[in-house]
Amino acid sequence: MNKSNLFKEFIRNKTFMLGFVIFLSIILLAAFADNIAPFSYDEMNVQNKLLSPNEKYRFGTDQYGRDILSRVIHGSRIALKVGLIVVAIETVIGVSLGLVAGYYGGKLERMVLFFTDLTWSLPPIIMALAIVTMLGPSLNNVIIAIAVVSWAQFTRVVRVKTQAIKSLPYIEAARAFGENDLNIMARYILPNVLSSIIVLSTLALPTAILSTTSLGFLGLGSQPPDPDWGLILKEGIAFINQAPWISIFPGLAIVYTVLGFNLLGEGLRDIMDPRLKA
Amino acid sequence: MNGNRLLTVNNLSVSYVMKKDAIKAVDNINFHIDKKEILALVGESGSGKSTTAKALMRLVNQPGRIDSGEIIFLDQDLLKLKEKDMSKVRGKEIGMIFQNPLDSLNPVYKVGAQVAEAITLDKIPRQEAFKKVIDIFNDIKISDAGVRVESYPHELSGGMRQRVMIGMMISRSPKLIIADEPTTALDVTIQAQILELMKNLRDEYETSILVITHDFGIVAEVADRVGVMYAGEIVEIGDVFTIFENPEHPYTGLLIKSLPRITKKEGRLQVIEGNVANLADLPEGCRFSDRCPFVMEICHKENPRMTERAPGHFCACHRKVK
Amino acid sequence: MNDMIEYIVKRLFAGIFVILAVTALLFGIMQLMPGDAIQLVSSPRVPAERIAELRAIWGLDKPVYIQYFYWISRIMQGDFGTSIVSGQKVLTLVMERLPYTLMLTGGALLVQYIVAIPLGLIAANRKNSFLDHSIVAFTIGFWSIPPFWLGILLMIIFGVWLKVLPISGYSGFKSVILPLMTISLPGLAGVLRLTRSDVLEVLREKHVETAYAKGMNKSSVLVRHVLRNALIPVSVMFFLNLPWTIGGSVVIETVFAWPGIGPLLWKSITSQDFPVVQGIVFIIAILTVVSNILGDIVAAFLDPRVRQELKGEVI
Repeated sequence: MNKSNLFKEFIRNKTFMLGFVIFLSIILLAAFADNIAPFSYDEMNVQNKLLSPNEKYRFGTDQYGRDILSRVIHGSRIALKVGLIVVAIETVIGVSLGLVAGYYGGKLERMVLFFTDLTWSLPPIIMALAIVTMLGPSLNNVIIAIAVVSWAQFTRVVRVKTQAIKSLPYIEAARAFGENDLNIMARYILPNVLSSIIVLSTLALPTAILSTTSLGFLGLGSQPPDPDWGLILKEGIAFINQAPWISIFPGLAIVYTVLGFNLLGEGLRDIMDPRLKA
Repeated sequence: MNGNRLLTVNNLSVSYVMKKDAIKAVDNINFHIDKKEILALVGESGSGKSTTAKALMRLVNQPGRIDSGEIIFLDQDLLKLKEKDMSKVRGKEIGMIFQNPLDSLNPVYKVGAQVAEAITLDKIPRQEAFKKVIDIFNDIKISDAGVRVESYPHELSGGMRQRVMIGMMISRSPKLIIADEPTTALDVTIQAQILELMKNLRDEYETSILVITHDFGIVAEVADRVGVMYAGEIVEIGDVFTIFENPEHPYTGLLIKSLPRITKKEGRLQVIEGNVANLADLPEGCRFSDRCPFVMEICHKENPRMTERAPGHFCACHRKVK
Repeated sequence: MNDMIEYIVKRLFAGIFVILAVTALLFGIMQLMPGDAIQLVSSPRVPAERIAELRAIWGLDKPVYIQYFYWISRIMQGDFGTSIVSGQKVLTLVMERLPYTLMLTGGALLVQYIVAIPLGLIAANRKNSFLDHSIVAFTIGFWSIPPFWLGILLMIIFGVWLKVLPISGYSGFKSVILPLMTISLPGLAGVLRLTRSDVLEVLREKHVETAYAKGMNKSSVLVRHVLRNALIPVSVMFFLNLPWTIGGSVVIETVFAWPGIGPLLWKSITSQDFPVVQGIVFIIAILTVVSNILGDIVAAFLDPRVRQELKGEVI
């Protein structure tokens, strides 16, 4: 598949394009949050508290008079940052472990599998809860917890593919030439699993954002007054009768973002590696 | 109506619809099959032979569709039947054996059960059906029938699976069996056994068989008559001996010559020049014109029609061999 | 059959090993945290000797691995520990609340599968029809909705605006509806997708054509040769989804103040009531391992090819 054909495939795929547009909008929102948002996220104006959406405060205000719209916009920064970092970590760990396990086999593989199974021994949320409990509630710990719980999917896929590629003749030839293992893994095996990795990573983003906002919702992630979408939602529950908009809008933001990334990932998968379906 | 006639196909056309274009995989073909005879349809991949086979059973799936024609089986036009009536024809009147028996059997059920399932369609109770399965397995020389009946498809060898398929499809005693590349996935000794089995079916069970193949060697082994297909058309059809002795169409001649023969002392393996016809991009006039060693002016202008060269021997070619 | 039993026993042992490893890990790291349970519960005015005394009573002055050993042996006797906060036995606390959680989880799984399987079958059968496209859109949409937000939304619509359903606690049948819907809907999307793609996969397989060629009619083929095959991965997913659904339930229960394990776990985490957290985690770990093994068993039971592989593995 040469480059220009690939490019055309991307443009033609409606799912991908829609997802990409949404993705772009979130990035722009996060990058220019300060310019776009009418207020800062912690600007309190207590006499304007709990106002329903109006001209000045498009999404209404919360119990401290803070503009929900601005909070949501600034929150995109947190969501994006967290999502990208989590996925980066789980990809790096998952892929490295998968490569090592698939390439070396034997004891090393069993060890890796054991640790990977360990991260699966509890449902992800429970495991993440346990980890955050141990480390203490903070955004960084949430990032660690979610990454730990999610790397297994990469390890699994990369391991199997590595095993398949490892037995190919040109790898044996490389070894006969004296190429060291690291080189082989990096230069020969990695490029071949790259498309699967890209698809998995992109699809891991929405899950990461959902999981981190869940933990934020439980108060275990960012702490107030950070405009973490999950946190705002949580704060809104107390006012669900008088001011439901506090909880509604951040949720919409999450749906928009997650949906966008899902579409992006699905589109990517259709084009790059349809066999990952299922 | 010829009392001996089993199947008559008139002007059958089948296309595949891709995005905006429709490609004619089978273009206006005519042929017939009599009772107690084996007709082989031979051709390269893309010639339309498999599509023809599926069309006879009305198993052409999207994006394919049958455009026109008549498939007259006994005295019914199959193309005019409602689906529920057609499903009564399938299996009971016409059976079909597929190419790769591993995928064609359901991996989750035992083979005995799968064959019995066919038999019970004739309202035969299960107990009896199972007994019949064992009888059939014995008839078609599946060893240890009692044990095999309880096996799963992946536990059997390729040849065994193909026999199970055959057993399944003859279990309701259809008058016609369509065999689509029945021996392609098997090795030579098994191939011989299966071909022997087919001849048996014709002689003892009086079943007619339509064999779809790309191998003229199989044609020589087993067929009574043969039809040669190229790019969706039948270019020659007739009695197998006549065609082997006197092939009229250049393509047929080349196919026969390309058979490796142990008797020949030396000489290179005959090869047919050019590539398989691209149905989306056919040459003007005769479809074989860009590969034909005898090509003439008129071949580029007009697509030749079928004419009868000798009783029962038809050919579509501008060149007349005398 | 013997092969199967051998395989199950092997998996059980492996499972137990994993549970021990996980709980050991959690146990160990929790103990390494600064300050411990005693300090948290006691006020600053308690004299140091008293604290040391309490420590000794609770066995907190012993090395970590000894504590872990005690903990395991107590569990074997059915003693899951005592809550630091409330003084009740952990097992009692959990057992009071487990039925409510199972009510939601079981109900949700049932709803999901009963609705998703026929819908998935229909969607796959009419691929690219309007119905199919709507179903696919639904699955992607609902899969993108955070469950806790869905719960809040439903609360707002049905509890605050329409005022037809209760929004917290357990007060009879009606109160089950909102939490149940909240848990079921996102999961439903997942199962629906899986069923649809499995059926599509099977439809492409050649044995379906063989079934038609035998003379079977469409509905028989769909049930006996398509559904039966497609249900294999779907059924396995049922068991693998169980722990996942319990996890989801934990969050939703806190939203609706549902008297299940969720709020208990959350309260214990925030008040650092470790015995309770450990006990709950342990129970859930067991449930997870058992579910995974059940998933394997179901796979072997339904698919003879898996049984073949198992024979190889056991040897």
